[in-house]
Amino acid sequence: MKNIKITIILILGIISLNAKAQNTYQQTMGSGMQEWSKGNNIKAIAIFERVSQVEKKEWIPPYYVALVNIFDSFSCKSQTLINQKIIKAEKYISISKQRNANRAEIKCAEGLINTLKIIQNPMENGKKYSKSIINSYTEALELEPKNPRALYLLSQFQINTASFTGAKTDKFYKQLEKAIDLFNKFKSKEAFYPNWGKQQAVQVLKNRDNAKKDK
Amino acid sequence: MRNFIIIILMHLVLTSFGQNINGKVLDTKNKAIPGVNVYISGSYSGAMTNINGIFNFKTKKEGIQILIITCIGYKEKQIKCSVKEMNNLEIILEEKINTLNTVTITAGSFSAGDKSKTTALNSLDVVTTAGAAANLVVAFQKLPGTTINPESCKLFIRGGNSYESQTFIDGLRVFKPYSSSPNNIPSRSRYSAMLFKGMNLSTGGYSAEYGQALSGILLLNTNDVEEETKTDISIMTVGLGLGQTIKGKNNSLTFNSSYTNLRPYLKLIPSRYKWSDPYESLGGEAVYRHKTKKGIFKLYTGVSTSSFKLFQEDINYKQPINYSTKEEDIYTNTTYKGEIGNKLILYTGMGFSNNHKTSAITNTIKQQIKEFERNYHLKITLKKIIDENFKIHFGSEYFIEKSNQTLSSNKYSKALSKEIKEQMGSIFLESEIRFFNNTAFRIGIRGEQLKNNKSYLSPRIGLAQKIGETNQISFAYGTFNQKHQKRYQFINNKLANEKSHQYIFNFQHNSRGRILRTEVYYKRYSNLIKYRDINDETSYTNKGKGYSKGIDILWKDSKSIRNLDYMISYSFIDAKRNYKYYPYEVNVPFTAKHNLSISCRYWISSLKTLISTSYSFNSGRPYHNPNKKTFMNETSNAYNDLSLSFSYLISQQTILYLSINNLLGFNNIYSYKYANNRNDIGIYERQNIRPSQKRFIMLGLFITLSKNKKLNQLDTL
Repeated sequence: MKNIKITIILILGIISLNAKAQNTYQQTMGSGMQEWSKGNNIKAIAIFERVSQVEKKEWIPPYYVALVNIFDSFSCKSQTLINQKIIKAEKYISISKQRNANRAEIKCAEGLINTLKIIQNPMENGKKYSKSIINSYTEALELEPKNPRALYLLSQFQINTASFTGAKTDKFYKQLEKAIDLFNKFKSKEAFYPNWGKQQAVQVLKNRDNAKKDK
Repeated sequence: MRNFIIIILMHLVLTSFGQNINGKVLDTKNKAIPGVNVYISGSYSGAMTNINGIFNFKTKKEGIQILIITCIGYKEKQIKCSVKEMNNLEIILEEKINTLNTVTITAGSFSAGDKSKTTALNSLDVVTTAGAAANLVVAFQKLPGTTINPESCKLFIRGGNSYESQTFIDGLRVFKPYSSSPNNIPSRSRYSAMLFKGMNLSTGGYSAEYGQALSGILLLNTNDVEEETKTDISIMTVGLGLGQTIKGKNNSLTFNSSYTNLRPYLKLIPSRYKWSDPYESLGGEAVYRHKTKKGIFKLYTGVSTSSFKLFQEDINYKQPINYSTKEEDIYTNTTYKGEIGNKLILYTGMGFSNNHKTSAITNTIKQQIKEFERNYHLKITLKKIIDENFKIHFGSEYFIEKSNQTLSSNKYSKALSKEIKEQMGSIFLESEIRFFNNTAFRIGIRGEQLKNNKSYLSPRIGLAQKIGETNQISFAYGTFNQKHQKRYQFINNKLANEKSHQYIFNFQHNSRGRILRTEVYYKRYSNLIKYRDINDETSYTNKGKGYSKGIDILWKDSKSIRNLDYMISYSFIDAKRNYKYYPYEVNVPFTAKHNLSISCRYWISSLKTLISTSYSFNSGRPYHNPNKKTFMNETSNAYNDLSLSFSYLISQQTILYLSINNLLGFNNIYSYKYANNRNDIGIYERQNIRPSQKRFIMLGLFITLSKNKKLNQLDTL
């Protein structure tokens, strides 16, 4: 009887420890997301990095290390720092890939990294990367035709190039509206699954409308 | 039940208590680093340093653990010790060398394409330079240190002749980089700029990896990958082009073929010369690339045939001379580059070239010259990256060259035939060392052994020092040697190599979108060939010598004005020589003292048009007037050219291109040719060397067909 008791206690103990580990993952990721939403990007990156080296099977933590670095670079002014962030983002994307990451989401992140490179040096890298950016997003859409981020990023990139070349942008804005539709229908597959982009997509539409009003 | 409570309590104890870990993170200058991620390897326990570089956290871990300290821009550090000792730590992080921020030796070199640091021209610039009509050499002539010799259109670098520069594709020498052209009509580079991702022109002081060039090298590297399967069609006033790219998973194949025929163009716009067979050429290039797990294999082949027949006036003859030329050229190379061990990179390559050329004069003196050349180049190099501050590069090369020339003329009863065979082996060793983040040092040596048992040792040194974030100075020294020009080798092949010593000092300012580059150099020539009688083998010596010195300035700006990209380059060259048949040291006829070039590109988004203009000027080149007692003492008139080109984007897949050379119609006289004999009143008469047409106009339509319609022709603009 005593043995049974001990066994039960042990089992309960293990379960509670396990649940605690699960909880630590959830909690820590949660706190990382919170820091990110507050704009504390460096802190968020540090947290995701730590989780990434503990949970060696999860693709989501390294994905966020890369993603926050990418977003952080868009608002960064130092060229040197941006280059370092790009290198770090690329490193974590490849870690995430090794952990069987969702390939469509990875393609989107890769497209963003190359967009950063174009912004860095448009004359030089524009030619070099614009094809591969379009390829990244279209391949993501081939993998997941309903991925809202892929469609949003593709539309945004096409709008930017079209307005640079003076081509018509209407059909790309229609495509963007469809992407927003997809965002509304999007259901997260697991906890902390990538779920960003809607706000940005809506902003692109707003910018157009504001520009129209100004005219 | 008691046990259960104990376990729960234990649990609580374990989570709330634990070892305290704290300390401070500093850089090498003792300044606190905020935002450093400090954690115990394999655990959630960790923290980020605050503004004062201080961190503080608790851990349940015990015993010996690894503490990881990592921050962007710094080298990661690990500390292995007992958790109890992780108290009041003082950790110093070293700054990481960033490849984009490092100091590189820039003396002498311009790179176009990949490397962001020294880029002066990118492949886009090469294609859209006004007046270049996609001839990549013309675009490089806009850079300082070069003198435009419009009647040949080859590269003349820093007081050097065109044969003193060599061209390399993927590291292997191209033996015949220019296609043949009639006298005083510019030749074209055989290779299309779009096949290359990186183009690097070095006007001196280059690495020990390259030899047999006294003045400069042009390095062309083919693209590693193609992004998509596509077809390119071009229709131009001077010919047609068709290209096809097939992209596989790990490999890709590109074909490019072109047909040029000047007949229709010459009907519309007559030339100074009478062409009985206008210039016609058919050429093709193919590149196959295969990516392996750790490397890349490439196979490049270029084939071309060209022919023309025309009448050109000559001061020595009453009637125009009828020249005809036919040329067939094959060049192929195959290379493999890949990692074979821990940071050990192997490169191997083999190049082969075969060229047949027949040129004849069918009236007046009636003669025919048949030329044949076959060359092989084998190369193997190893590069060991010991760490990011220390690299060693060494390798070996072997050249086998064979040329023969047969002259048949009604002057001689038998055809005269000459042949030269040459073999050369070389080895080189070079290492690059970086100190701190701001000093780079390169030292190399190259040894060459020729068939005539002569051997040469050439040391090369480079040094660079960064000054602040955007400026750097560098210095290069080297000795270079080269076998003398082929036409003299046919007469005397026993001479020693010609030699040059170069000293280059460079200052470069490079901020985002702006480059200022100034270079001062001194180049000393020795062992140049010297002869009394060109046809007398015994009169040849190595006693010729000379020098050239000057200053090059380049300013490139793509930032100040939106959508405008401009470049100004100026060079002053003082080059004197006493070689060949010269009586004493004089200015060389292929170099002008002052050279200026301004080129701009402006994108007008509302018109979907890229406008590109370029202006070139030089102060005229020396020539010899036999009516005067002094030698080579006159200077031709200044050279001026203003070219303009428009690229209009009809749709995202189609471009209409228009280019006009010498828009303002300057009457350029490049130089003069004097008669061999005096006329009746005892004067040597002369004729002007002028362009065959005042202006050259090209109209073209470029179409890209691809599966992915979203792709943009803008990329090729």
